[in-house]
Amino acid sequence: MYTLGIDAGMKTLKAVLSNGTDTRFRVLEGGNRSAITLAEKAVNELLEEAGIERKDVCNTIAIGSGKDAIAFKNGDCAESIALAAGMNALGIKINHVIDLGVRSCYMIRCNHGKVFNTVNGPRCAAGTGSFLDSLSVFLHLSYDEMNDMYFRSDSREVLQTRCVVFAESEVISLIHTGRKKEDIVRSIFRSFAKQVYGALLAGDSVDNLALVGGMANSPAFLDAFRELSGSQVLVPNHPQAVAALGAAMIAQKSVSFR
Amino acid sequence: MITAGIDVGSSAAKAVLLQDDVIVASTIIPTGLDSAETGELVFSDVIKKAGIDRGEVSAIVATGYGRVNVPFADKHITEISCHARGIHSVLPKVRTVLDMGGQDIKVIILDNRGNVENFIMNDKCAAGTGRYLERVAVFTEVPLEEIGAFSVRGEEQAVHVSNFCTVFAQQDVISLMREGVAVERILAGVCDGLVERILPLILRMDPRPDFAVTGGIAKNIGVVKRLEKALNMPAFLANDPQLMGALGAAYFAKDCVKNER
Repeated sequence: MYTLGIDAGMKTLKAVLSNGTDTRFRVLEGGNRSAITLAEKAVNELLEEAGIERKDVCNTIAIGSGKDAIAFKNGDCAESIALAAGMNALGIKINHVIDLGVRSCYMIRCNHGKVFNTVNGPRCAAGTGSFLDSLSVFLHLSYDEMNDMYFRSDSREVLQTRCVVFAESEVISLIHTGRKKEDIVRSIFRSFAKQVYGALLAGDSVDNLALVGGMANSPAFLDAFRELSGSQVLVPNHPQAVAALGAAMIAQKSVSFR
Repeated sequence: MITAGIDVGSSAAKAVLLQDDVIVASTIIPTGLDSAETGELVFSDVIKKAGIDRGEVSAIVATGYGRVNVPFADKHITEISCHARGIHSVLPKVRTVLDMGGQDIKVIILDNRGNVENFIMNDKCAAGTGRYLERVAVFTEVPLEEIGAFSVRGEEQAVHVSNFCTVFAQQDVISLMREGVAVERILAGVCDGLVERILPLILRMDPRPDFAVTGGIAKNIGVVKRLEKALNMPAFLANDPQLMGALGAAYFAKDCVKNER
């Protein structure tokens, strides 16, 4: 019995098709405005791959900021709940799970697929992927370039300001005072990691953390975050699609009630 | 006796020449990257406008971000005090001042003599500052000084724009522009959001009439009207809202001269 989980995010659309044993993932670039088009595309690709048809899908659960645009959904649920379900489906027993997307920053504490606490990050760009996105546009550097440059520096500095807008001015002054771009980029990642850690963990040390969402794909961020948090940070396979997987699993459970 | 007040802000540097309680000349120039140079530039500019020599200025007081960078000033006084003094000189009944500049937002409570009773400042977050609107101006392709008028036109049909963060608001504006939403509606949403964002800061200070708005934002009629509605108080505007800090500084310069006598 196949089900679909669709996570319509601000920057990417994630879709998971599963019957419990056969699970397939898709992550497509493109934000909220094109959510339904991307969702259709992702679903068609997944169905073709699995060799099944639309009518073979019994239940579809949508999550994320664009979930209302997913007209073909049968239901929806909170992202945090889907995230916990997804981690459970992957068999990962870590209790602290951080989801860092382009506009989201939150941490759940979960156990056996159930959420028992949620901590939200700052409501502004300072704690989200937007911080890095904005600065990468500002510096005319691609994401990959920024990740590479991080590893070419060993600076231990962080930026003074938390606000992305003011950070741009700070970066300009650093460039004017002759700082190397690699050092600046490294301090950007370090600042960002520090902000996220501070907002979500408030200085507590936790041995094991899991990280999902777009930022989990950044080696530079992971390195900075591991250092600043002092924790072991696990990144599951398909880190961006864990919540979508959870949605598909929730869809499995609720099929028997239909 | 002519005195000068110089206010070097994050975005703009202002200078005022005061004689017998009248502004004889004033100037506003962009601050640029080197505020030490800016202090000199803005002062030269204003004395040139008045057609006088440096020597004819009896005293100079500097304020603003660059107040430490105007070495030739006789005294440096905080921007809060200068703003309060400047506003009090033109609007003596004002007790609450909202000053929104390029990079920060201040709320100042005055007593009936123009002394600062209380104040609060946000300079950690760009939301609601001139920076926020500058970005909006870029993405909507509407000049900064016209945003207010556009937002008034779009008032009835404002679309929601994220109000908490400059970056998110910018992302929303870009999306909405791509969708072809009328720019008046977007700007109405931006101004609505801006006021929502700063209102708690103002309310925290227990605002009382008369209420005045200074700084670059005073030129934005959309924000001013929305503030009046939210606070249920008319907003008084000085004719030259950006010059209040420099004006107050020029008045403090008068005190310097009096004290020396």
